[in-house]
Amino acid sequence: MITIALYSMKGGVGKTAAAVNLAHLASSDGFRTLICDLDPQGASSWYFRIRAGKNFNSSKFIKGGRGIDENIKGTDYPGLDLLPSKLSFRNLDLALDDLKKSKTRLRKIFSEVSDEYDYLFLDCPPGISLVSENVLDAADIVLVPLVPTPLSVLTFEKLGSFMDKKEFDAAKVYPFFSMAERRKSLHVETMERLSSENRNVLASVIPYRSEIERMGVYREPITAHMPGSFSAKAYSALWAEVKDLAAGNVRKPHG
Amino acid sequence: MHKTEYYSISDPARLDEIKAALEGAFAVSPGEASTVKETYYDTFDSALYKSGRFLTRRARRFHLREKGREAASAGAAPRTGSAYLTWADFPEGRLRDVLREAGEIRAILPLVTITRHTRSWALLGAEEKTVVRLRLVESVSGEENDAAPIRAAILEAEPVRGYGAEFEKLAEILSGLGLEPGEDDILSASLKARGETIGTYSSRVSVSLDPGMPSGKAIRKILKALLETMKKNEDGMLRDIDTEFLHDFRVSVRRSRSALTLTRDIYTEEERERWKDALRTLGRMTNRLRDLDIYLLGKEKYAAMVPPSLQPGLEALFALIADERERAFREFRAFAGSDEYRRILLSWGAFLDSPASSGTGGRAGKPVIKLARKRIRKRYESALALGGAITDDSPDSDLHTLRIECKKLRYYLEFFESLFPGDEARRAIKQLKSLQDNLGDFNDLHVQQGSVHGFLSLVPAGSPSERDIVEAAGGLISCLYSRQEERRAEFASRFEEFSGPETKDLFDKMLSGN
Repeated sequence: MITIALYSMKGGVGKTAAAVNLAHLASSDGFRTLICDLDPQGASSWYFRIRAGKNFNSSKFIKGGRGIDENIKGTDYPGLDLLPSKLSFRNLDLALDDLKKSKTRLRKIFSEVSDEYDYLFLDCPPGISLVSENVLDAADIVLVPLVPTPLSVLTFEKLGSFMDKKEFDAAKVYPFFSMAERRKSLHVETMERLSSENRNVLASVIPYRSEIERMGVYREPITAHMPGSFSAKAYSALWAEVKDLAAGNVRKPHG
Repeated sequence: MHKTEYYSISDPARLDEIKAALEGAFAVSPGEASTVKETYYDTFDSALYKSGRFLTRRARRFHLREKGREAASAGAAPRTGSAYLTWADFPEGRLRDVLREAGEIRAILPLVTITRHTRSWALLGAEEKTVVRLRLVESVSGEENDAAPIRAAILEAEPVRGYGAEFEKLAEILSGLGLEPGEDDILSASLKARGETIGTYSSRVSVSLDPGMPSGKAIRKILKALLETMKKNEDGMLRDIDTEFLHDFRVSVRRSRSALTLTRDIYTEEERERWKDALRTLGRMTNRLRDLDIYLLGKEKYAAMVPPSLQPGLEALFALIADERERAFREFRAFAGSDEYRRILLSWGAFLDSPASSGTGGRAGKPVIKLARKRIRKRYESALALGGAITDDSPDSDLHTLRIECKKLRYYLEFFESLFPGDEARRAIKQLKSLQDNLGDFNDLHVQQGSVHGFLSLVPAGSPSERDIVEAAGGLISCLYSRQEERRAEFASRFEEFSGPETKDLFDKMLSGN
């Protein structure tokens, strides 16, 4: 199982949209795929019209095992399952903090489903927290959506120093531009500058499009709802790049 | 967790009713639809079907599909030219490997051509979320523009993880309409609709007897089942589809002869002699053909035995054997077209249909369990005595006699398996089989040495390859001899196992009682 995290310190950058569409494309390729919604707002659960069971909560989640197994739900797409989030996931940090080995808990939880799935996508809440640390530890690939503005780039650089400090392997972090607008010269200049500075920047660019915003209305991945659209093609190109990374450039999971 | 269930809908006219019931309980969202025309293929003994696979041909390309999956393997086109397809006609690859593993010596035959319509739906729950996936697979078979095409339909219900309650609700609704999940898939359902079956042929003897059944009636049931197997193989044998048809036919003839040895004081002496003679003729008239088949089937094995320098001679020898096989087959087919052959099978069938075949002798009415116990015991004890007397210096013919005895014991155990509760008969057969394999190999290797010698008479005088062939035959014979000696060396330990306490316990358990 290859674990891919969609992570950003900033909110509202197209993180969930990318997680949902990439997971859908993975399952369409025939890979057994699980998407795990770690964000208490539950946006990816919402996109798939899945509600968590009444008894599911953050403490069940961090216990792992049966509680996870019973709460994974099939989406509308064959081969794509989802572990929904609950509002109580806002307390995930506190719940993790009480544990021993609190920084590697997610890796352990997900190792239990690693035989069942080829790909695991983690849709993470924004911010830097214990949850983020767990995600950065568990992921084989960290995808960071970046809105091409100087401020976003600054935040991204902060992630770099945070990872260095925590001794995470920064080589597994791959930024890609999200909500990009070619008619804005600021966007174009920022993209060009960062691409020349950082070898890990992916070539695919997810554009700013209202059809992506409208995913919340029709509640499907755009790659399923409008597979021929410009946005869906952008996600397909991004998935092709990520799939290549997964095939060749993934470090071996610990243990 | 739930698994995909298959509902056979024998009356396609009911589909509207089913759809209405589902729409009453769920929001239903239509999905993809497709139509393909395909021909299904399998071996005569349904080896692919029994392993959960479908081999289909669309236009020239063959595809392999697993049950419950829509996706098929990439297509491969076989070499054309042979009358009947085998695995060897396919290009190298996974398909060929699967086919070889499923049936190395069996032909791959067309079963039925259908037009398959597949439609899918999603059953939706709250917020229009998919909670169950449905696929309706309909097949239409029959001639083009047929006024009354033959239809079959299977509804496949695939659960969605986390929505078990909805899956159970669906099962309840379908059950209310009289539909229960079953084993049928679109192939078996299509064949059923045509009055055909799949996966029912087996060369094993399988008769269900009752201990209190009169012996005559039981024997008749066994003989009828054996004749049935002969008849099932007749067509393939005469068309020479593959060598297994003749083989299974002959085994049934031998088993029938063996069953006749149980009929003293059940049938009259005159009847016994008459039918034994008739069956012996069927055996005799096919001996030569089967011997040649065994040689040709073993070609690779023999080639591996002799050194490279003898290969050209061996090739030439096998070419002669193949010619001889063609001749033997023509001879056999002439016999099979003769009045004599027809008369044997017809009169044997007529006898088994007549009340006389339940026996008129004094023992015909005795419970079959007594007969079974007595005769199995006799064979078992005789096998033990014969085997126990064999030493390293015994002549080959002693092992041959023991082999025949074991074969008869094996047949009896197979005939009467259903009479014994538990799996003692099954296990006794297993113990016996290990000894039989040894004796069988020993005997085959012995006989083959003589046959190779005999094949030399096929070499035309003055043939340029005569010398090569004679050398190859000599090489082969010495290899066969050394292998025969190896089998002989293994005999003692195999027999010890068979004559040991474990086997004795099994037989004691079966044979005790009165």
